Amino acid sequence: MAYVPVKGGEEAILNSLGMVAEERRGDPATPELTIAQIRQQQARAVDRVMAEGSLYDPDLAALALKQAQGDATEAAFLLRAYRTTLEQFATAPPLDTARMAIRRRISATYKDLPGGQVLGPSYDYTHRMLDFDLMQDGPRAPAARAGTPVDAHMPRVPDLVANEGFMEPALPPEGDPAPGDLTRQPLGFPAGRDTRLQNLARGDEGFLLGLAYSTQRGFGSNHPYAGEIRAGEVPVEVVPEELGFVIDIGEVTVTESQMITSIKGASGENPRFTRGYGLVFGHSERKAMSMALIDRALRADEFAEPRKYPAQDEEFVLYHSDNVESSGFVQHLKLPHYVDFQAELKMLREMRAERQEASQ
Amino acid sequence: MDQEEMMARADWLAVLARAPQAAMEAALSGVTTGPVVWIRPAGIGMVMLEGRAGGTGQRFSLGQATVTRATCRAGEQIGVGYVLGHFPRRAELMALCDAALQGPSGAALMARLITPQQAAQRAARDDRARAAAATKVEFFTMARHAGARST
Repeated sequence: MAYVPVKGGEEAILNSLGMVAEERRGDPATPELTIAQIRQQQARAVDRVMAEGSLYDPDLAALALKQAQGDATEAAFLLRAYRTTLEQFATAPPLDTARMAIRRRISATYKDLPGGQVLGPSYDYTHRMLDFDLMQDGPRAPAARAGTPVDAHMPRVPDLVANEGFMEPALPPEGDPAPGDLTRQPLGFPAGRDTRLQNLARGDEGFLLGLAYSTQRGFGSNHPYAGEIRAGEVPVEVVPEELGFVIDIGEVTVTESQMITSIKGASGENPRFTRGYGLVFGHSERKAMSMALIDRALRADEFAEPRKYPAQDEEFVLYHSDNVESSGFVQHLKLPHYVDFQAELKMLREMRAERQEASQ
Repeated sequence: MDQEEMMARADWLAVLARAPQAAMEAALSGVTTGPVVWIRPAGIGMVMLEGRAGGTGQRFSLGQATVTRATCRAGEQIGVGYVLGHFPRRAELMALCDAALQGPSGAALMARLITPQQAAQRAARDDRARAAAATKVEFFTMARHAGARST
Protein backbone atom coordinates (compact mmCIF):
# COMPACT_ATOMS: atom_id res chain seq x y z
CA MET A 1 0.00 0.00 0.00
CA ALA A 2 2.36 2.70 -1.22
CA TYR A 3 0.91 6.14 -0.72
CA VAL A 4 2.76 9.06 -2.25
CA PRO A 5 0.58 12.07 -3.14
CA VAL A 6 0.41 13.63 0.31
CA LYS A 7 2.91 16.14 1.65
CA GLY A 8 3.44 17.28 5.20
CA GLY A 9 2.47 15.66 8.45
CA GLU A 10 5.94 14.21 9.08
CA GLU A 11 5.97 15.14 12.73
CA ALA A 12 2.48 13.81 13.39
CA ILE A 13 3.37 10.54 11.64
CA LEU A 14 6.56 10.15 13.68
CA ASN A 15 4.60 10.78 16.86
CA SER A 16 1.97 8.25 15.79
CA LEU A 17 4.71 5.64 15.36
CA GLY A 18 6.03 6.61 18.78
CA MET A 19 2.60 5.99 20.24
CA VAL A 20 2.47 2.56 18.60
CA ALA A 21 5.85 1.70 20.16
CA GLU A 22 4.73 2.86 23.58
CA GLU A 23 1.44 0.95 23.45
CA ARG A 24 3.21 -2.15 22.13
CA ARG A 25 5.58 -2.13 25.09
CA GLY A 26 2.78 -1.60 27.60
CA ASP A 27 3.63 -1.11 31.27
CA PRO A 28 7.44 -0.95 31.58
CA ALA A 29 7.12 -2.71 34.93
CA THR A 30 5.98 -5.86 33.04
CA PRO A 31 8.82 -7.85 31.45
CA GLU A 32 9.09 -7.46 27.68
CA LEU A 33 8.15 -10.50 25.53
CA THR A 34 11.08 -12.34 23.95
CA ILE A 35 11.02 -13.80 20.45
CA ALA A 36 11.64 -17.27 21.92
CA GLN A 37 8.61 -16.89 24.20
CA ILE A 38 6.36 -15.98 21.28
CA ARG A 39 7.79 -18.71 19.04
CA GLN A 40 7.35 -21.41 21.68
CA GLN A 41 4.31 -20.30 23.67
CA GLN A 42 2.21 -18.67 20.94
CA ALA A 43 3.14 -21.26 18.31
CA ARG A 44 -0.27 -21.47 16.62
CA ALA A 45 -0.24 -17.71 16.03
CA VAL A 46 3.29 -18.06 14.62
CA ASP A 47 2.04 -20.86 12.33
CA ARG A 48 -0.75 -18.68 11.02
CA VAL A 49 1.59 -15.80 10.25
CA MET A 50 4.00 -18.12 8.41
CA ALA A 51 1.16 -19.66 6.38
CA GLU A 52 -0.44 -16.37 5.38
CA GLY A 53 2.91 -14.60 5.04
CA SER A 54 3.93 -17.53 2.80
CA LEU A 55 7.35 -17.66 4.43
CA TYR A 56 8.48 -20.42 6.77
CA ASP A 57 10.60 -18.88 9.51
CA PRO A 58 9.26 -19.21 13.08
CA ASP A 59 11.67 -16.61 14.49
CA LEU A 60 10.78 -13.94 11.94
CA ALA A 61 7.07 -14.74 12.26
CA ALA A 62 7.41 -14.31 16.04
CA LEU A 63 9.19 -11.00 15.49
CA ALA A 64 6.42 -9.89 13.11
CA LEU A 65 3.79 -10.78 15.72
CA LYS A 66 5.67 -8.83 18.38
CA GLN A 67 6.00 -5.81 16.09
CA ALA A 68 2.34 -5.99 15.06
CA GLN A 69 1.13 -6.36 18.68
CA GLY A 70 -0.36 -9.77 17.88
CA ASP A 71 -2.25 -8.61 14.76
CA ALA A 72 -1.86 -11.74 12.60
CA THR A 73 -2.82 -10.12 9.30
CA GLU A 74 -0.45 -7.19 9.83
CA ALA A 75 2.29 -9.65 10.83
CA ALA A 76 1.72 -11.69 7.64
CA PHE A 77 2.02 -8.46 5.65
CA LEU A 78 5.38 -7.75 7.36
CA LEU A 79 6.67 -11.19 6.33
CA ARG A 80 5.44 -10.75 2.75
CA ALA A 81 7.25 -7.39 2.57
CA TYR A 82 10.43 -8.87 4.06
CA ARG A 83 10.54 -11.77 1.62
CA THR A 84 10.71 -9.37 -1.34
CA THR A 85 14.18 -8.33 -0.09
CA LEU A 86 15.52 -11.90 -0.33
CA GLU A 87 16.96 -13.80 -3.25
CA GLN A 88 15.57 -17.25 -3.99
CA PHE A 89 18.53 -19.64 -3.85
CA ALA A 90 16.84 -22.75 -5.11
CA THR A 91 13.70 -24.78 -5.30
CA ALA A 92 13.52 -27.91 -3.22
CA PRO A 93 12.18 -31.27 -4.38
CA PRO A 94 8.50 -31.51 -3.34
CA LEU A 95 8.00 -32.26 0.36
CA ASP A 96 7.17 -35.92 0.93
CA THR A 97 4.42 -36.03 3.55
CA ALA A 98 4.65 -39.84 3.70
CA ARG A 99 8.02 -39.29 5.42
CA MET A 100 6.48 -37.05 8.06
CA ALA A 101 7.56 -37.52 11.68
CA ILE A 102 3.98 -37.95 12.88
CA ARG A 103 2.78 -35.75 15.72
CA ARG A 104 -0.89 -36.32 14.93
CA ARG A 105 -2.63 -38.51 12.37
CA ILE A 106 -6.29 -39.40 12.31
CA SER A 107 -8.81 -40.74 9.83
CA ALA A 108 -12.57 -40.43 10.06
CA THR A 109 -13.04 -43.11 7.40
CA TYR A 110 -10.88 -46.03 8.54
CA LYS A 111 -10.79 -47.16 12.13
CA ASP A 112 -7.95 -49.63 11.80
CA LEU A 113 -5.02 -48.13 10.02
CA PRO A 114 -1.47 -49.35 9.68
CA GLY A 115 0.34 -47.11 12.16
CA GLY A 116 -2.85 -46.40 14.08
CA GLN A 117 -4.91 -43.35 14.93
CA VAL A 118 -2.64 -40.91 16.73
CA LEU A 119 -4.43 -38.06 18.50
CA GLY A 120 -1.28 -36.06 19.21
CA PRO A 121 -1.78 -32.62 20.73
CA SER A 122 -5.43 -31.72 20.04
CA TYR A 123 -8.10 -29.39 21.41
CA ASP A 124 -10.80 -31.70 20.02
CA TYR A 125 -11.43 -33.44 23.33
CA THR A 126 -11.27 -30.44 25.64
CA HIS A 127 -14.41 -28.92 27.13
CA ARG A 128 -13.33 -25.41 26.16
CA MET A 129 -13.26 -24.28 29.76
CA LEU A 130 -10.79 -21.60 30.77
CA ASP A 131 -7.87 -23.10 32.65
CA PHE A 132 -7.30 -20.73 35.54
CA ASP A 133 -4.10 -22.55 36.52
CA LEU A 134 -2.50 -20.76 33.57
CA MET A 135 -3.13 -17.42 35.30
CA GLN A 136 -0.03 -18.15 37.35
CA ASP A 137 3.46 -19.27 36.39
CA GLY A 138 4.23 -22.70 37.66
CA PRO A 139 5.61 -26.13 36.87
CA ARG A 140 3.57 -28.01 34.26
CA ALA A 141 3.25 -31.79 34.13
CA PRO A 142 5.11 -33.33 31.18
CA ALA A 143 3.17 -35.37 28.60
CA ALA A 144 3.19 -39.16 28.79
CA ARG A 145 5.64 -41.21 26.71
CA ALA A 146 4.88 -44.67 25.30
CA GLY A 147 7.44 -47.47 25.39
CA THR A 148 7.58 -47.68 21.60
CA PRO A 149 7.57 -44.71 19.25
CA VAL A 150 5.03 -44.27 16.44
CA ASP A 151 6.05 -45.87 13.13
CA ALA A 152 8.70 -43.93 11.23
CA HIS A 153 6.79 -44.33 7.98
CA MET A 154 3.03 -44.08 7.98
CA PRO A 155 1.25 -44.59 4.67
CA ARG A 156 -1.22 -41.87 3.66
CA VAL A 157 -4.77 -43.14 4.02
CA PRO A 158 -5.99 -42.42 0.45
CA ASP A 159 -2.97 -44.34 -0.88
CA LEU A 160 -4.07 -47.39 1.14
CA VAL A 161 -7.40 -47.62 -0.64
CA ALA A 162 -6.20 -46.34 -4.02
CA ASN A 163 -5.37 -49.91 -4.97
CA GLU A 164 -8.98 -51.01 -4.79
CA GLY A 165 -9.84 -48.66 -7.63
CA PHE A 166 -12.46 -46.75 -5.67
CA MET A 167 -10.23 -43.76 -5.02
CA GLU A 168 -9.35 -41.17 -7.60
CA PRO A 169 -5.60 -41.59 -8.08
CA ALA A 170 -3.30 -38.62 -7.38
CA LEU A 171 -0.84 -38.74 -10.26
CA PRO A 172 1.31 -35.92 -11.62
CA PRO A 173 0.46 -34.65 -15.11
CA GLU A 174 2.57 -35.85 -18.04
CA GLY A 175 6.22 -34.91 -17.50
CA ASP A 176 5.68 -33.81 -13.86
CA PRO A 177 5.99 -30.11 -14.78
CA ALA A 178 7.37 -27.42 -12.46
CA PRO A 179 4.47 -25.57 -10.83
CA GLY A 180 3.41 -21.97 -11.34
CA ASP A 181 4.45 -19.46 -8.72
CA LEU A 182 2.29 -16.47 -7.72
CA THR A 183 5.37 -14.68 -6.35
CA ARG A 184 6.69 -14.53 -9.92
CA GLN A 185 3.64 -14.56 -12.20
CA PRO A 186 0.41 -12.66 -11.57
CA LEU A 187 -2.81 -14.59 -11.09
CA GLY A 188 -4.50 -15.52 -14.41
CA PHE A 189 -7.65 -17.43 -15.33
CA PRO A 190 -8.47 -20.19 -15.80
CA ALA A 191 -6.04 -21.04 -12.99
CA GLY A 192 -4.39 -24.45 -12.84
CA ARG A 193 -4.80 -26.59 -9.76
CA ASP A 194 -1.18 -25.77 -8.84
CA THR A 195 -1.96 -22.03 -8.76
CA ARG A 196 -5.19 -22.61 -6.84
CA LEU A 197 -3.42 -24.69 -4.19
CA GLN A 198 -0.68 -22.08 -3.73
CA ASN A 199 -3.27 -19.33 -3.41
CA LEU A 200 -5.27 -21.34 -0.85
CA ALA A 201 -2.15 -22.33 1.14
CA ARG A 202 -1.41 -18.65 1.75
CA GLY A 203 -5.03 -17.49 1.87
CA ASP A 204 -6.75 -15.98 4.89
CA GLU A 205 -7.81 -18.69 7.31
CA GLY A 206 -11.06 -16.99 8.26
CA PHE A 207 -12.09 -16.44 4.65
CA LEU A 208 -11.29 -20.05 3.71
CA LEU A 209 -13.08 -21.38 6.79
CA GLY A 210 -16.26 -19.47 5.95
CA LEU A 211 -16.18 -20.61 2.33
CA ALA A 212 -15.53 -24.22 3.34
CA TYR A 213 -18.46 -24.04 5.74
CA SER A 214 -20.66 -22.69 2.94
CA THR A 215 -20.01 -25.86 0.88
CA GLN A 216 -21.26 -27.96 3.80
CA ARG A 217 -24.37 -25.87 4.31
CA GLY A 218 -25.69 -26.31 0.80
CA PHE A 219 -23.75 -23.69 -1.15
CA GLY A 220 -21.93 -26.50 -2.93
CA SER A 221 -22.80 -30.15 -3.31
CA ASN A 222 -20.16 -31.59 -1.05
CA HIS A 223 -20.66 -34.38 1.48
CA PRO A 224 -17.06 -35.02 2.37
CA TYR A 225 -15.23 -37.34 4.72
CA ALA A 226 -11.97 -36.53 6.44
CA GLY A 227 -9.95 -39.32 4.86
CA GLU A 228 -6.86 -38.29 6.75
CA ILE A 229 -5.43 -35.39 8.70
CA ARG A 230 -1.78 -35.49 9.67
CA ALA A 231 0.57 -32.98 11.23
CA GLY A 232 4.26 -33.22 11.96
CA GLU A 233 7.74 -32.52 10.69
CA VAL A 234 8.92 -33.07 7.13
CA PRO A 235 12.56 -32.77 6.02
CA VAL A 236 13.51 -30.05 3.53
CA GLU A 237 16.02 -31.03 0.88
CA VAL A 238 17.93 -28.86 -1.56
CA VAL A 239 20.53 -29.49 -4.24
CA PRO A 240 23.15 -26.75 -3.69
CA GLU A 241 24.85 -25.71 -6.91
CA GLU A 242 28.27 -26.07 -5.26
CA LEU A 243 27.58 -29.70 -4.32
CA GLY A 244 25.37 -31.15 -7.03
CA PHE A 245 23.73 -33.68 -4.72
CA VAL A 246 20.73 -33.62 -2.39
CA ILE A 247 21.21 -32.49 1.19
CA ASP A 248 18.75 -32.27 4.06
CA ILE A 249 18.86 -28.77 5.61
CA GLY A 250 16.29 -29.05 8.40
CA GLU A 251 12.60 -29.66 8.80
CA VAL A 252 9.33 -27.78 8.62
CA THR A 253 6.08 -28.47 10.45
CA VAL A 254 3.11 -28.89 8.13
CA THR A 255 -0.50 -30.06 8.33
CA GLU A 256 -2.03 -32.13 5.55
CA SER A 257 -5.71 -32.86 4.97
CA GLN A 258 -7.20 -35.26 2.47
CA MET A 259 -10.95 -34.93 2.02
CA ILE A 260 -12.92 -37.60 0.21
CA THR A 261 -16.22 -37.10 -1.65
CA SER A 262 -18.09 -39.75 -3.61
CA ILE A 263 -19.41 -39.06 -7.11
CA LYS A 264 -21.84 -41.06 -9.15
CA GLY A 265 -19.67 -40.79 -12.22
CA ALA A 266 -20.75 -38.96 -15.33
CA SER A 267 -21.19 -40.47 -18.81
CA GLY A 268 -20.46 -44.10 -18.16
CA GLU A 269 -17.66 -43.56 -15.63
CA ASN A 270 -17.66 -45.76 -12.57
CA PRO A 271 -18.93 -44.26 -9.33
CA ARG A 272 -15.92 -43.50 -7.13
CA PHE A 273 -14.35 -41.27 -4.52
CA THR A 274 -12.77 -37.97 -5.48
CA ARG A 275 -10.31 -35.97 -3.43
CA GLY A 276 -9.68 -32.47 -2.14
CA TYR A 277 -6.25 -31.60 -0.80
CA GLY A 278 -4.96 -29.24 1.84
CA LEU A 279 -1.37 -28.60 2.93
CA VAL A 280 -0.33 -25.67 5.12
CA PHE A 281 2.66 -24.45 7.10
CA GLY A 282 2.52 -25.17 10.80
CA HIS A 283 -0.08 -27.08 12.79
CA SER A 284 -3.42 -25.80 11.55
CA GLU A 285 -6.10 -28.38 10.94
CA ARG A 286 -8.87 -25.81 10.59
CA LYS A 287 -7.06 -24.24 7.68
CA ALA A 288 -5.82 -27.47 6.05
CA MET A 289 -9.35 -28.94 6.13
CA SER A 290 -10.87 -25.71 4.76
CA MET A 291 -8.30 -25.69 1.96
CA ALA A 292 -9.11 -29.30 1.05
CA LEU A 293 -12.86 -28.61 0.92
CA ILE A 294 -12.37 -25.56 -1.31
CA ASP A 295 -9.84 -27.36 -3.52
CA ARG A 296 -12.51 -30.00 -4.15
CA ALA A 297 -15.24 -27.40 -4.76
CA LEU A 298 -13.02 -25.62 -7.30
CA ARG A 299 -12.56 -28.87 -9.23
CA ALA A 300 -16.25 -28.76 -10.27
CA ASP A 301 -15.46 -28.62 -14.00
CA GLU A 302 -13.31 -31.76 -13.83
CA PHE A 303 -16.30 -33.75 -12.60
CA ALA A 304 -18.89 -32.02 -14.78
CA GLU A 305 -20.55 -30.44 -11.75
CA PRO A 306 -22.50 -27.21 -12.31
CA ARG A 307 -20.66 -24.18 -10.90
CA LYS A 308 -23.37 -22.34 -8.99
CA TYR A 309 -21.88 -21.30 -5.67
CA PRO A 310 -19.17 -18.88 -4.48
CA ALA A 311 -16.81 -21.67 -3.35
CA GLN A 312 -16.90 -23.15 -6.88
CA ASP A 313 -16.07 -19.83 -8.55
CA GLU A 314 -12.30 -19.63 -8.87
CA GLU A 315 -12.18 -15.92 -9.66
CA PHE A 316 -14.25 -15.14 -6.60
CA VAL A 317 -12.21 -17.41 -4.34
CA LEU A 318 -8.70 -16.68 -5.61
CA TYR A 319 -9.11 -12.91 -5.95
CA HIS A 320 -10.51 -12.44 -2.47
CA SER A 321 -8.70 -14.99 -0.31
CA ASP A 322 -5.43 -13.09 0.01
CA ASN A 323 -5.63 -10.98 3.16
CA VAL A 324 -2.62 -8.81 2.30
CA GLU A 325 -4.33 -7.65 -0.89
CA SER A 326 -7.81 -7.48 0.64
CA SER A 327 -6.57 -5.55 3.63
CA GLY A 328 -4.61 -3.13 1.47
CA PHE A 329 -7.58 -2.29 -0.70
CA VAL A 330 -10.14 -2.02 2.09
CA GLN A 331 -7.82 0.03 4.28
CA HIS A 332 -6.65 2.39 1.57
CA LEU A 333 -10.04 4.05 2.03
CA LYS A 334 -8.69 5.60 5.23
CA LEU A 335 -6.12 7.63 3.36
CA PRO A 336 -6.96 11.18 2.27
CA HIS A 337 -9.37 11.29 -0.66
CA TYR A 338 -10.01 15.02 -0.25
CA VAL A 339 -9.74 15.94 -3.92
CA ASP A 340 -11.88 13.04 -5.16
CA PHE A 341 -14.49 13.78 -2.55
CA GLN A 342 -14.61 17.52 -3.31
CA ALA A 343 -14.98 16.74 -7.03
CA GLU A 344 -17.86 14.41 -6.30
CA LEU A 345 -19.50 16.95 -3.99
CA LYS A 346 -19.22 19.61 -6.70
CA MET A 347 -20.81 17.26 -9.23
CA LEU A 348 -23.73 16.50 -6.87
CA ARG A 349 -24.25 20.25 -6.30
CA GLU A 350 -24.40 20.87 -10.04
CA MET A 351 -26.82 18.00 -10.60
CA ARG A 352 -29.13 19.33 -7.89
CA ALA A 353 -28.95 22.81 -9.32
CA GLU A 354 -29.85 21.49 -12.78
CA ARG A 355 -32.76 19.57 -11.34
CA GLN A 356 -34.09 22.62 -9.52
CA GLU A 357 -33.82 24.70 -12.66
CA ALA A 358 -35.66 22.06 -14.68
CA SER A 359 -38.53 21.84 -12.15
CA GLN A 360 -39.01 25.61 -11.99
CA MET B 1 34.04 -37.68 -4.66
CA ASP B 2 32.73 -41.24 -4.90
CA GLN B 3 29.22 -42.30 -4.00
CA GLU B 4 30.16 -43.44 -0.51
CA GLU B 5 31.95 -40.18 0.34
CA MET B 6 29.01 -38.24 -1.03
CA MET B 7 26.56 -40.13 1.19
CA ALA B 8 28.76 -39.73 4.25
CA ARG B 9 28.99 -36.01 3.58
CA ALA B 10 25.22 -35.68 3.03
CA ASP B 11 24.72 -37.48 6.37
CA TRP B 12 26.96 -35.17 8.37
CA LEU B 13 25.55 -32.09 6.64
CA ALA B 14 22.04 -33.13 7.78
CA VAL B 15 23.34 -33.46 11.34
CA LEU B 16 25.15 -30.10 11.18
CA ALA B 17 22.07 -28.34 9.79
CA ARG B 18 20.29 -29.23 13.06
CA ALA B 19 23.24 -28.81 15.43
CA PRO B 20 23.20 -26.05 18.04
CA GLN B 21 25.59 -23.17 17.47
CA ALA B 22 27.34 -23.68 20.83
CA ALA B 23 28.10 -27.35 20.06
CA MET B 24 29.73 -26.43 16.74
CA GLU B 25 31.71 -23.55 18.31
CA ALA B 26 33.00 -25.86 21.05
CA ALA B 27 33.89 -28.71 18.70
CA LEU B 28 35.77 -26.41 16.32
CA SER B 29 37.82 -24.72 19.03
CA GLY B 30 40.34 -27.57 19.11
CA VAL B 31 40.54 -28.07 15.34
CA THR B 32 43.29 -26.55 13.23
CA THR B 33 42.58 -26.12 9.55
CA GLY B 34 44.58 -24.21 6.99
CA PRO B 35 43.83 -20.53 6.41
CA VAL B 36 40.12 -19.86 5.92
CA VAL B 37 38.84 -17.94 2.90
CA TRP B 38 35.14 -17.17 2.59
CA ILE B 39 34.22 -18.01 -1.00
CA ARG B 40 30.63 -17.11 -0.19
CA PRO B 41 30.14 -15.21 3.05
CA ALA B 42 27.02 -16.08 5.01
CA GLY B 43 23.94 -14.83 3.18
CA ILE B 44 20.21 -15.17 3.77
CA GLY B 45 17.86 -16.17 0.98
CA MET B 46 14.89 -18.40 0.32
CA VAL B 47 14.00 -21.74 -1.08
CA MET B 48 10.57 -22.44 -2.59
CA LEU B 49 8.96 -25.43 -0.92
CA GLU B 50 6.63 -27.50 -3.05
CA GLY B 51 3.86 -29.91 -2.26
CA ARG B 52 1.98 -32.43 -4.38
CA ALA B 53 -1.81 -32.46 -4.73
CA GLY B 54 -3.07 -35.52 -2.87
CA GLY B 55 0.48 -36.12 -1.61
CA THR B 56 1.59 -37.82 -4.84
CA GLY B 57 0.04 -35.77 -7.67
CA GLN B 58 0.58 -32.42 -9.36
CA ARG B 59 3.34 -30.25 -7.91
CA PHE B 60 2.42 -26.85 -6.47
CA SER B 61 4.33 -24.01 -4.79
CA LEU B 62 3.49 -24.26 -1.10
CA GLY B 63 5.45 -21.24 0.10
CA GLN B 64 9.01 -20.14 0.68
CA ALA B 65 11.34 -20.80 3.61
CA THR B 66 14.32 -18.74 4.69
CA VAL B 67 17.70 -20.40 4.21
CA THR B 68 21.17 -19.22 5.25
CA ARG B 69 24.19 -20.45 3.30
CA ALA B 70 27.95 -20.00 3.43
CA THR B 71 30.92 -21.52 1.58
CA CYS B 72 34.52 -21.47 2.72
CA ARG B 73 37.91 -22.84 1.74
CA ALA B 74 39.79 -24.05 4.80
CA GLY B 75 43.23 -25.26 3.74
CA GLU B 76 42.62 -27.69 0.89
CA GLN B 77 38.96 -28.32 1.62
CA ILE B 78 35.80 -26.58 0.50
CA GLY B 79 33.13 -26.46 3.19
CA VAL B 80 29.45 -25.77 2.64
CA GLY B 81 26.80 -24.63 5.10
CA TYR B 82 23.04 -24.64 4.39
CA VAL B 83 20.68 -24.08 7.30
CA LEU B 84 16.91 -23.65 7.26
CA GLY B 85 16.15 -20.28 8.87
CA HIS B 86 17.89 -17.04 9.57
CA PHE B 87 21.20 -18.12 11.14
CA PRO B 88 24.38 -16.60 9.61
CA ARG B 89 26.74 -17.82 12.34
CA ARG B 90 25.37 -21.37 12.22
CA ALA B 91 25.82 -21.50 8.43
CA GLU B 92 29.46 -20.33 8.81
CA LEU B 93 30.20 -22.85 11.54
CA MET B 94 28.58 -25.58 9.48
CA ALA B 95 30.81 -24.74 6.49
CA LEU B 96 33.92 -24.76 8.70
CA CYS B 97 32.91 -28.12 10.19
CA ASP B 98 32.18 -29.54 6.73
CA ALA B 99 35.64 -28.51 5.53
CA ALA B 100 37.35 -29.88 8.62
CA LEU B 101 35.47 -33.19 8.38
CA GLN B 102 37.00 -33.74 4.93
CA GLY B 103 40.53 -32.97 6.17
CA PRO B 104 43.09 -34.63 8.45
CA SER B 105 41.16 -33.77 11.64
CA GLY B 106 37.96 -35.26 10.19
CA ALA B 107 37.91 -38.42 12.27
CA ALA B 108 38.42 -36.53 15.51
CA LEU B 109 35.66 -34.03 14.70
CA MET B 110 33.39 -36.87 13.67
CA ALA B 111 33.82 -38.47 17.10
CA ARG B 112 33.59 -35.22 19.02
CA LEU B 113 30.69 -33.54 17.20
CA ILE B 114 28.82 -35.58 14.59
CA THR B 115 28.42 -38.85 16.49
CA PRO B 116 27.08 -37.33 19.72
CA GLN B 117 24.93 -34.80 17.84
CA GLN B 118 23.45 -37.54 15.70
CA ALA B 119 22.63 -39.52 18.85
CA ALA B 120 21.07 -36.45 20.51
CA GLN B 121 18.97 -35.67 17.43
CA ARG B 122 17.79 -39.29 17.21
CA ALA B 123 16.91 -39.26 20.89
CA ALA B 124 14.90 -36.05 20.48
CA ARG B 125 13.03 -37.51 17.49
CA ASP B 126 12.40 -40.73 19.40
CA ASP B 127 11.11 -38.77 22.39
CA ARG B 128 8.60 -36.87 20.22
CA ALA B 129 7.55 -40.11 18.52
CA ARG B 130 6.97 -41.77 21.90
CA ALA B 131 4.90 -38.81 23.11
CA ALA B 132 2.76 -39.17 19.97
CA ALA B 133 2.55 -42.95 20.47
CA ALA B 134 1.11 -42.39 23.96
CA THR B 135 -1.91 -40.75 22.26
CA LYS B 136 -2.71 -43.71 19.98
CA VAL B 137 -6.38 -44.48 20.27
CA GLU B 138 -8.95 -47.14 19.45
CA PHE B 139 -12.31 -45.56 18.79
CA PHE B 140 -15.46 -47.65 18.98
CA THR B 141 -18.51 -46.50 17.08
CA MET B 142 -22.00 -47.61 18.08
CA ALA B 143 -23.89 -49.78 15.63
CA ARG B 144 -26.51 -47.63 13.92
CA HIS B 145 -30.21 -48.39 13.76
CA ALA B 146 -31.44 -49.30 10.34
CA GLY B 147 -32.53 -46.13 8.57
CA ALA B 148 -30.60 -43.79 10.87
CA ARG B 149 -29.00 -40.94 9.01
CA SER B 150 -25.28 -41.45 8.64
CA THR B 151 -23.13 -38.62 9.91
